[in-house]
Formats: sequence, structure tokens, C-alpha cells
Amino acid sequence: MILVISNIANDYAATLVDMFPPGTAVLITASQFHQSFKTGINVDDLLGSHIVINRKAIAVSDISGVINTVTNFYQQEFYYIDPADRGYVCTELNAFIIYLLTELPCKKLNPPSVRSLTGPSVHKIEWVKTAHTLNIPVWQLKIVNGLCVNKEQPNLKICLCTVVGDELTTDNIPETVANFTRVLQRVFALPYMSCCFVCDDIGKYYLKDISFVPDITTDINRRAILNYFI
Amino acid sequence: MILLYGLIEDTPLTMVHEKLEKAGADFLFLDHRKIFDYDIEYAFSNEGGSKCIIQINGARLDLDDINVAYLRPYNFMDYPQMEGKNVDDRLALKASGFELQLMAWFDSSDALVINKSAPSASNNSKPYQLSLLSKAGFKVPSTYISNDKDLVKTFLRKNVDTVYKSISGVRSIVHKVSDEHLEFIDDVQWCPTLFQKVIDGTNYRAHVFNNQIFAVRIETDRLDYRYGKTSMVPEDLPYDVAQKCHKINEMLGLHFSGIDLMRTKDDEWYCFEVNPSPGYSYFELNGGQPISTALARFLMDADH
Repeated sequence: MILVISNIANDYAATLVDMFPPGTAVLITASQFHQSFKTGINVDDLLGSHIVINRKAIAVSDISGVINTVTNFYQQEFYYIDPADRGYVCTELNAFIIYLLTELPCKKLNPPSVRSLTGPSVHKIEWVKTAHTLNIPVWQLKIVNGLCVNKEQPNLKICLCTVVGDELTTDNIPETVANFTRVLQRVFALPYMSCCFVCDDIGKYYLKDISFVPDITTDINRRAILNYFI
Repeated sequence: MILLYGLIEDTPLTMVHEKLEKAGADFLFLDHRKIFDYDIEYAFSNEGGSKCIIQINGARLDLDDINVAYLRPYNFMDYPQMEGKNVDDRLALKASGFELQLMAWFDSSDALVINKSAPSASNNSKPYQLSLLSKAGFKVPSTYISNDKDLVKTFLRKNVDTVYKSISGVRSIVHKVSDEHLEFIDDVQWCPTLFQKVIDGTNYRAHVFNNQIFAVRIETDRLDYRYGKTSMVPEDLPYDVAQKCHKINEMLGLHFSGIDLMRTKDDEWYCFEVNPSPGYSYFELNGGQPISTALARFLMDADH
């Protein structure tokens, strides 16, 4: 069974679930959690526990994969909770899902970290240092009190490179850009990574941004994700 | 240089501040209450690398000069400047931006930080941390998480002495589940709830540095000793328990922590929790151990 964790507003999540063979993938959202997800988990015996999703009992040990498109749940998603309690319920559910996803011994796109339900949730300052250490050119960056204040330069060529497992999901990617992306993917040890590069006047590529959260809005990405799990 | 970041009226910070001052250490205190007056600027270029500067009333602090940091930030939304304001207020956004950027800098820096944000965040999910404690060799209390009232009832029937608490790091007073609570058991459907089997025994608290432990035995008249009549006596931990304390600190990447332990009548040691930002002063003042002196020494040694 594959768990797809997303936001109820992301219609592509349901599309992704439908791409898997019938009955082999389910969607979990915070907005429907109280109706669709029931569980009793022994922390000392997680794999012996069961989850009921959409009235179907699933042994935790039968969960073979997780695709997660949200770094955390937001208070606003818990519309069915009294507004005064939403913050608490949201914090509790995030804490529970972090534990559950961390302990599941299956393929995860992306694996959670202690600060994020998907991927490492590293600040720009942290991945800039990692990339610089790896001799990957990074686009100049200035941040003041948490806000990027770089002057945007118009007409720069942008190149987005996404990798799912071993598969690049964009055609005609310059080899340098593909190599940089694969190196970062290896260093962060993640199956999914999307890197945005900019190209200067003399054709040199610089890393401008990284996303660790699977983007399922394009058909090619969804197919690559499907291939990764099947 | 050592950086202390927090509130001067926060006793754990005050105590270490005093010890550093007395020892003539090279340190700087950055007052969290003045967070709204600070600016932080980070710049990166491929030629010059990363640089981060804090502007404090016209003075500049180059964060490359900080080798060691002891961080105890507070919730600035509780400060008088924020009265009647929301988190999306301009001043609040500036302060949260400052804090996020400062932590990101320290998370990526080679400075010794007590403690970096990822290791500290392990405390935000109790089952996540319990699982790590188990891997470090500790016994942990039998723990059940559920949002199904029938399953909860079954668990409670089998485990008569049970407490409930938050799954997250939200501070909650630990309560035994009673008949009165069972009237509200249907409410678990709205939020997964954590139940834990009560372990009978004696509480211990260990403050753990990389190579040093200060432990106290705690006598109390309450289930949650923080809210009862409590006394503390310094006591050495058995060697294997001390080793496990060091191991969990190492696994989590913590340089200083407060670990809650329980010793049963059968001499079994359970571990409940690791606190990455311990309010050690409460234990120093009641148990008489020189934790702040050790902390100041630890910071000074790391600075050299």
C-alpha cells in the first residue's frame, strides 16, 4: 500500500493515487483525517499495529511506500476543530505523522526529518554552504531579517532540473546542470530533488534554489514517481 | 567568543552569565528582549563565501567571531511590544525573520551550539524521541497512540495505570487516566492522543554534557514532580545508565541536555524524555550541584 500525503486543495494528489493500480494507493489529508484515518499504534510494536484508512484495515507492515507533498499540516486545514483548539491539534498531528513516517521501513519520497514531513527542511543558508563546499557555483545571495533582497536580473535563462530516483524529468538539460543536481541529490540522500539554476551571459550555470518537496503538478513528474515505486 | 542569547531574567541564562563574568571569559550577551532593534544581514558570493552580520544599535557583530553559542530564545509574541498585534504584524515578521536567519546561520556554522535546531526538534515528537531512546538502549514505557475510542478503551482495560500526555513538545501536566476522563473518551476521534503505562519508581534527572553528568534523585508526592512537594539528592548514575545518557546525546547531536529517568524497585532504568534546552537552574538550586559552573567551563573550553 502506498500512502500519498497531501493537501485537500492539491487535485493532483488524487490524480496520482488513481495512477496506481486500483486499491494500492490512498490519499491522506489533514482536512479529512478525522473521517478517513483511524489507528491504534503501539510505539514499541509499530509494525504489528494497524491503520484503518477509508474503512479499509491496513497492517502497518503492508505499507510499502510514502509520497508526501507537504512539509507540515497547517491549522487552517482543521476546519472541523474548534478554532481555539486548532493550533494544538495541528501540532499534535504533525508530531504523530513525523514519528510514523520516520519509523516506516519503506520507500519514502521524500523521507521526513525532525522538522519536516518531507525532506530535510534546511534553510537556504544551509544548502548554500553545502553546494559551495561541493564547488557548485551558487547565485549571489543576500538575506536581511529573513527576506531575500537580491536585485532580480531580467532576461536570465532559468533551468529547472528535477530528479526522481535515477530519472531526470526534464528533457534537454545541460550535462553540467544534471550532474550538479545528481551530486546534491546524493549528498542530501533524497530520492526527489528539484534544483533551479540560472545561466549568465557566458553560459555558466549557478544554483539559485532547491526544492525538497515533490512537485506532482506535472504529468511527467507523476509518471516518474510512479516508476520509482513500481 | 561565546554568545549568550536569551533573557537576563531567565535563571539558567543568568547563572551561566554570572559564572562567565566571574571567570573573565570572552563573551557577549545578546538580549532577546531587544530582538525588535536588531538587524541581521547574510551575504553569499562564490568568491567570498558566506558572511553574516548582526547590527546592534550601530555596532556590528560578525558571527564568524562566535565560536560557541548558548541559545535560549523565548516567544517574542509575549513581549509588551507585541501586545494586540498578530504574528503577521510587520515587527513580528522582522523578529521571526531575524530569529530564523540567526538559527540557520548557527545550524550551518562550525561553532559549538547549545543546541542546534534540528537536534532540539527531536523533543517536538515524543514517540519519535522514545523510539530513539529505545535504540540507545533505554527501556521506555509502553506507549499507545490512538484516535479510535474503542481501541483506546481496550488499551485502558488492559493497562489500568495509564497517563495521557501530548504527542508533541507542547507542555502538558501529566495526569493519570481516571473515570472522569473516560467520560470524554469520544474526543480522541478529533486528535490522536498518547497514552503511556505508569512506571512506579523513583525519578532521576540527569544533566548531561559531552563528558560529564550531574544526576539527582527526586523524592516527590506527585506523579509530575514539577508540580508537587519535591526534594533532590545528588547521586551518581550506574555506569551503563550514564553510558546510555551519553549515547543518546551523541545520537541526537546535543552537547547539553536534561534527561528524565525512572528507577524501578527491580532496579530497571526507564527513560521518558530528553530535554534539549533544560531549565537546569531548578535542579541546581534544589540539588546543590554546580551545573552552571560546569556549563560555563564547557563553553570556555570550547572557545579555546
